Amino acid sequence: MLVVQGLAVRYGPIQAVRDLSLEVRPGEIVALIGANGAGKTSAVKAIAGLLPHAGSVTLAGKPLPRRAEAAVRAGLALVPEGRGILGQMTVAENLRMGGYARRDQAGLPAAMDVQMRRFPILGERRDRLAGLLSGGEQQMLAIARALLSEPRLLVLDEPSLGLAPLMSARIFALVEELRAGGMSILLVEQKARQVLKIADRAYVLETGTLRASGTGAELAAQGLLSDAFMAAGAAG
Amino acid sequence: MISSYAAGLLAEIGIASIAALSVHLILAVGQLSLGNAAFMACGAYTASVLSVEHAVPIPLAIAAGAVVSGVLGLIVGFPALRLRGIYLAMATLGFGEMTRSFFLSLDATGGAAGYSGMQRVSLIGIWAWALPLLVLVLIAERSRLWLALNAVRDDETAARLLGLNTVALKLGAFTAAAALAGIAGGLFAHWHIFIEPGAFSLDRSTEMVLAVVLGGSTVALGPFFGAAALALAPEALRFIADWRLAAFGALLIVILLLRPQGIIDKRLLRALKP
Repeated sequence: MLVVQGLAVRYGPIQAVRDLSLEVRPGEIVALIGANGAGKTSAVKAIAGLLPHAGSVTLAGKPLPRRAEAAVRAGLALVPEGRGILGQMTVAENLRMGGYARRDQAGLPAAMDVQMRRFPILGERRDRLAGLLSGGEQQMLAIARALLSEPRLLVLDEPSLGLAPLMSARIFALVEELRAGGMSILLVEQKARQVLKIADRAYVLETGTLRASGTGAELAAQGLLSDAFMAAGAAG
Repeated sequence: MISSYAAGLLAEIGIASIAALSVHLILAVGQLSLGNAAFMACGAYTASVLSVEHAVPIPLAIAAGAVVSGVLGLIVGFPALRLRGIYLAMATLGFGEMTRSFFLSLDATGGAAGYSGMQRVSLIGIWAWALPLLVLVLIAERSRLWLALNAVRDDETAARLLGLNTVALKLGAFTAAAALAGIAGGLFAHWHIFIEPGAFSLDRSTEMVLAVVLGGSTVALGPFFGAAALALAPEALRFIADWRLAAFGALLIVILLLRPQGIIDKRLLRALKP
């Protein structure tokens, strides 16, 4: 589904990501994990077309456009870190905007109903300003909105950030549910142990470089999921 | 028949409403322009020269002024894409002063002495532009396109991730806003039948922004109402003679303290619905 080869991102003289290659196969949850500052967000922003980058990114065998607005139309939906909620617009307006890029505009109202059945709280609060929702509700809205673009690949950047444990668990359960429905997902997280319970495979980033990849068990065997490692990565 | 005093006030309200709508359009994408008087000036001078020198019918001359202003808005819009907030406000302010200085030095349109010779447009002629434009913006506000503009205002990065071409939306808003200000300028020139660069100074741009802030920036009726309030309030306060402008300023502060979102907003309109 998604194939990234030799991805590199620079902020002026600082190399944030170097020579990153990864793959997400159809129907997989793939995690990109690493400590704070490891380059995870830079990597997914580059993949989604928000940052200039070197290297190649293909989705379903075709090169992914390097502009975010075109990448959405090609089938990639990114729920960014911080959720990117349109706070001065209502829940319903946010959802309507989620379908902006879809080809089937006539089917948008029905698709919105599907999402509001999936997240009943969004239906109940459809006329409320999105900025007034709780963090968990905003995350649900961000995911529902991303799904309305009918993506082939859903990229979630730190979906559990700032959420209570119960809400984090609900979000991870939802991610599993989406995979069961056939969705391919690239999941960026700092909570490595939690995310590896649901991910098929994971890539570990350390100061912008790919340190290892494999299943949760394989990474644990290499000692790459310890708190000490994550903290060391943050310090680096 | 209405008195010439009332006609004058209604004409000013019509023209100021269109000018305020131009600020409203730019604010829809979260940008603040303090240079819309420059677009108004371009519309005014273009329409005037066409109608006086080339005998172009007034409505056509005004439409041509809108096109010229719109093209100028597009050109100014490109560098403005890189700026936001106070920085864009300062850049557009500079553009406004630059345009005023340009017409001040342009002998072909009279320079500081101004330009005259236009035929007066009627009050009905002014509102024949103002009302359809208001209705057009009201209709646009219910569209997907307007939601897209507001999405850019709320979070430009999120808007891009939803598939919105934020560059095109911002440029489009700037161009349309400049064209609207150009129409206001053409009408202004043909109502006053005399224009001079001083009529399009920073004060004029500030009035446009004030009309939107006072009336409300979330619905087109806000700028319309704000423009009317700005024209009528000083008149209503004439009974306190020399104190009226000071009282007007105090009134503005009180209104904005009580209604920081402006007098008219969506919630108020919903509450007023039968």
